[in-house]
Amino acid sequence: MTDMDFQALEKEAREAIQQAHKADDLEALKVKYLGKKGSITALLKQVSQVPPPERPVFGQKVNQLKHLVQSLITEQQTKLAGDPDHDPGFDPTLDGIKPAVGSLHPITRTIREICVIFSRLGFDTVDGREIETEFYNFTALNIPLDHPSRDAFDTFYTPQGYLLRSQTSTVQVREMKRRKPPLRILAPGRVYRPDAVDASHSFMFHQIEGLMVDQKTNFADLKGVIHLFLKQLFGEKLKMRFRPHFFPFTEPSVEVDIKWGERWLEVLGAGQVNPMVFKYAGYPPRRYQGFAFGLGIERIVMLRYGIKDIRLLFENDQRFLEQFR
Amino acid sequence: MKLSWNWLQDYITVKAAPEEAALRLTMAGLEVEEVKKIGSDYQLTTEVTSNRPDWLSHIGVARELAALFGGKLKMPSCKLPKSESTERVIQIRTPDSKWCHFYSGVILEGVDQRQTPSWMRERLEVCGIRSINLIVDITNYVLLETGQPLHAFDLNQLQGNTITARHAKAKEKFQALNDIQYELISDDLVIADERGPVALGGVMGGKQSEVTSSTKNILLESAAFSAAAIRRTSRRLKLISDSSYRFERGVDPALVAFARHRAAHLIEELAGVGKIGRTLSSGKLVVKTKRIILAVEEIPRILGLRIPAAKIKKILISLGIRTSLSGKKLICQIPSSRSDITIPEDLIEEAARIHGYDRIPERLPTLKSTQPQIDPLLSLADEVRNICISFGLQEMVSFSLIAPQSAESLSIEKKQWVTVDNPRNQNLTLMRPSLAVSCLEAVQKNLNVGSKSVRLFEVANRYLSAEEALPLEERMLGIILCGHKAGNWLDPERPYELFDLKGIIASLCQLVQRRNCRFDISKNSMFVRGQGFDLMHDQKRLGNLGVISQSIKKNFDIDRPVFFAELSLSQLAQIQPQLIKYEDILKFPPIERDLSLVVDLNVRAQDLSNEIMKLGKGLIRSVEIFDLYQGKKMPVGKKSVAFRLLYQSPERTLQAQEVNELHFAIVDALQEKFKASLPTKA
Repeated sequence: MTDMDFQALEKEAREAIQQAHKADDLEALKVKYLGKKGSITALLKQVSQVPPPERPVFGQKVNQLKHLVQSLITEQQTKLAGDPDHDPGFDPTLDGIKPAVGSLHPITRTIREICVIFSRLGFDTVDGREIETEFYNFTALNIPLDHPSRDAFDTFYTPQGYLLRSQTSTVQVREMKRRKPPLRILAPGRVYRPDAVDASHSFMFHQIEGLMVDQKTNFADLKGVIHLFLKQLFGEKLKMRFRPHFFPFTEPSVEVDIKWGERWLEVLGAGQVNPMVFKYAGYPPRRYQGFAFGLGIERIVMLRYGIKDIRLLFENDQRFLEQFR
Repeated sequence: MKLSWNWLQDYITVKAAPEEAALRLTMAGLEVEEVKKIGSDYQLTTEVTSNRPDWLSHIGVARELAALFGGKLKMPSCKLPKSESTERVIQIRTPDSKWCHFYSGVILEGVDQRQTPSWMRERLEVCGIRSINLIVDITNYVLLETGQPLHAFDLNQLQGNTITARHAKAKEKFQALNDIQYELISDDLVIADERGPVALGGVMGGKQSEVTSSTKNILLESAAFSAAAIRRTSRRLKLISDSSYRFERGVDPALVAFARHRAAHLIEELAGVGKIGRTLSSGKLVVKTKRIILAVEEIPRILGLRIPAAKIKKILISLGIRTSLSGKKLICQIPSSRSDITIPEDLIEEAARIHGYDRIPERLPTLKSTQPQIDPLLSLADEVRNICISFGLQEMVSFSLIAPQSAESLSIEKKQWVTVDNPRNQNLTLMRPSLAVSCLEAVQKNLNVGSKSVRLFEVANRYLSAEEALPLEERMLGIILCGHKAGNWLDPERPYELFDLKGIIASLCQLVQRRNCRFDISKNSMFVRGQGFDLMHDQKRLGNLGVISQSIKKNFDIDRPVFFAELSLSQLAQIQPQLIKYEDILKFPPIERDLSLVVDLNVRAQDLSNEIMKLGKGLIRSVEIFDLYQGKKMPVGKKSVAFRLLYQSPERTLQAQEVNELHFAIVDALQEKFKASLPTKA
C-alpha cells in the first residue's frame, strides 16, 4: 500500500459515508470497511506481512484510517438520527404558564407604601375603631360642641348616639391614653362623611393619621419629616409648600401642597398638637409636644395612577382592579 | 368669598400686583383660589377657614394685607347721623337671648332712593352681587365691607308697633325673598311683626316687607344671632345666604353698631333721608376681649425657630392685637374680632404665618428608640392579603354601608344590626354584619359586564351591636369565587368548585400557622344544604364557607354557582400560631401503592381515608385521593375513588411482601366495612 492508496481509500470511504442517507446503508458501509471481512480490517491483518522496518508506520496509518472511518460513521449516524439537543418543531414563542396571581387594591397598596416609609422612622402602625364616640371624634380633638361638623349632615350617627368616625384623628387620644411618650404612630383606616357620591366625593374613604409626640418635637421637625415622606412617595424632584391652615386639634396648623403639573394640590394637613388635645389625653399641661398629620389616601391614589373618578375605587370591577398587578 | 381688589385699596395701599398679593395671602393662610381681571378691577376668590370669619369682609382682608405688606389701615368714614324723632316708633323684643343675643334697628323715614352710584354697583358685581336698589345695595355693601349682615324692611309693610325675634310656631308659613314658601318649626328663629314672620332671622328677609325702589320708610336691622340656631335653620331648609354664611361662622359683636352706623351714613349720603330715628334695641351685646400672655421662649420651643420678640410684637400689633413686651413676656390684648385666639400657641401661629412658614427651617428629628409595638391583627391581615393574591385572588374594597333589605336573607339576627342615619343616601343605612352582601354584589357587577371568572377577596370589618357598649368591629376576610378558573394552552379552564375554595382556606390556615383548623359541615342556611362548612378551631367557629343557596343568588340575579367564604381574622389572630417543629427525614424508602374502590355515592371520602390510616398499623405515612369518578361508566348510585398510599417505616426498610399483605388486608377490610368493591377492569 502506497500513501496514494491510503489517500484514495480514505477519500472513497469519506464520500461513501457522507452520502449514506439511511441507517442501513451506513451499517453496510461499516461492514464494508470495518467488518470482519472489511477492507480496513484486511489491511490490519496485513501488518504482519509488511517488512519489519516499515511496520510501525504502516500500522499507525491503518489505525488512523480505522479511527477516522469510525468517527465519520458515528457522526453520520448522529446526523441521521437527529440531535437530541435540537428540536426544530419546538415553538419558544408560546406564552409561559404564569401562576394565577391577584393584586392588592390600589388603596391597600398605597397605605402599605406609606406605612413602610414611616416604619423606617420608627412609627408603629396601629388600628383604630370606625364606630366611635363623640368624645374621640370631636371633643378630644378640641372641636367645640356647636361646631358644624358635628351636625347629622356632616357625620353619620347611630340611634344609640355613636358615630362613624369622620377622620382617623380619633386614634390620637385613644393611643395617647394607652401609652406614654415618646410615641410615633401611624393609623390608616376608613372614615365616613355623608356626602353625596360623585366623581370626587364618596361617603366612605380612607385616611392615614400620623402622630409623633415627645418632649421636643417641633414645627421644624414636622417640616423635615413631612418633606422627607412626600419626596419618598412622589420622587426626589417633588416641589412642595407649607401653607398655614386651620384644624382645631393642631396649633400652629399647616396644609401641604405639592406641585402637580402647573397646579398646587393640597395633599396633607398637619400641625403641632394642640395642648387641649394633650389635656384630653390626660397628659400634664405642656410637658409633651409633637406633631400630627393626616392625609386622604384616595387623593394620592387618584393622583399617582391618573384615576379621574373616585367611584372606580369602590366598584370592584375586575377590569379596573387587575390593572394594579 | 369674592373680593374686589380696588375696594381693598380703600383701606390699605398695596403696591404689589394683585397676583403677588394673592400669593402672599395664600401663604399666610387665606387661600386665594383665583385672581380674575374684571374691567379695571380684579376679583379675588378666597377660601376662608372656619376659624377666620373676620376674613369674610374687605376690612378684615385689608388688615391682613397691612400685616403682610406694612402700611396703616384706614377705616371707612362712619359719621353717626343725628337722630330725630320719627313718625313711627317700633318696640323690639328678644324673648330668647340665647338665640337672638341682641337686636337693633333704626327707622329711616322719607328715604329718597336714587340710582346706586356706578362705583358701588361695579364693586358689588365684582363680588358676585347683583344690584337691586340703592337701599338693598347699601346693606349688601356694608356686609361685604365689614362682615356684619344687615337687613332693611319696608316699614310700611310691617304690622303693628312691635318686632319680635322669636321661635317660629310649628308649621308657621314664611314667604322668603327668593319667592319660596317655607314651613317652619319651633327650632327656627323668625323676626315677626304683629301678623307673623317678616324675616327668617339671619337667613333671609320676607317677600312681604321687601324694600323696593319705591320704598320710602325703612327699618334697618343689625343684630347678633346664635350661630348654631342660624346654621340649623339654614341647613334644614337648604337655604344659604351671604348673611347666614357669616352668622353661622360667628360675627364680631363689635360690628353690630359699627355696620348700622356705616349703613345709615351711606343712606344719608347717597339717598337722602327725611328723618333718622334713634337706635331701637333689645338684648345685651357682649363684646369680649381677652388678655393672653406669651412667654418669648415658647416660640422656638414650638417652632424650632427663634423670632425676635420685637418682631413678634410688631406682627401682632399689625394684626390688630395690642401687644406690649414686659421682660420676657408678650402681653397681648385680643380684640373681639379674633375669637379664634384663645391660647399662647394661637399667637405663635399668628407670628409664624406672617413671618412666613417657609422661613422655618426643616430638620430631621433625632429619634429616641422605643420598643416596637406590632399589632397582631394588622400583621395577620397583611399576611392574609399577600397569601390571597398569591392564590390568584383580586383584592376589592367595598362600602361598609349596605342596604338593610339585602342583608335580610343572611342568617344574622336583626337585633345585632348596627344602623346609621344616612340623610343623603337613605338606602344605605346598615353597617354590614357580614361581607357576603358586598361580595355577592361584586360578583353580580362583574358578571353583568361580561366577566367569566370572578375571584375576589376583601379584608374589612363587619359590625355587630353590643349591649351598652360600642358595637363590635370584627376584621373579616371574605372570598368569593364564581364562573371559570382561568386556564391556559397547557391546562384548560374549568368551572370553579367548592373544593377550590376549601383548598384555599386550608392552605391559608396552614400558611398562617393555624394548621389545626377543621371543616365541619355547616347548618348555615346561606349555603346549599350539606355544601357548606364551618371552619372550626377547637370549639370556636372562625367562619364558614360554602355554595351560596339558590334563594340568595336569586336576590343578586346570579344564575351560576357561587362559592363564598368568610373568616374572622380577629378571632384567627387570637389563636397562637403553631410553632413549626422539625422532624427527622425518614431514612427508609417509602413504597407507593394505589387503591381504587367502588362505593355508594353517600360514602364519604374522609371516612375511607381515616379507616385506611387506622388499618395501616402505623406504617402508612399518607393517604391522598388522586381520582374520583362518578358518571356514565359507573353503576347507578356508585362512585369510584382512587387513593394513593405511601407506606413507610421510621425504623426499617419495608419489604414488598409485608406491604402487599398489609395492603390487601386493608382492601378486604374496606370492602367489608363500606360495602366497597374493586373496579372491574374495562
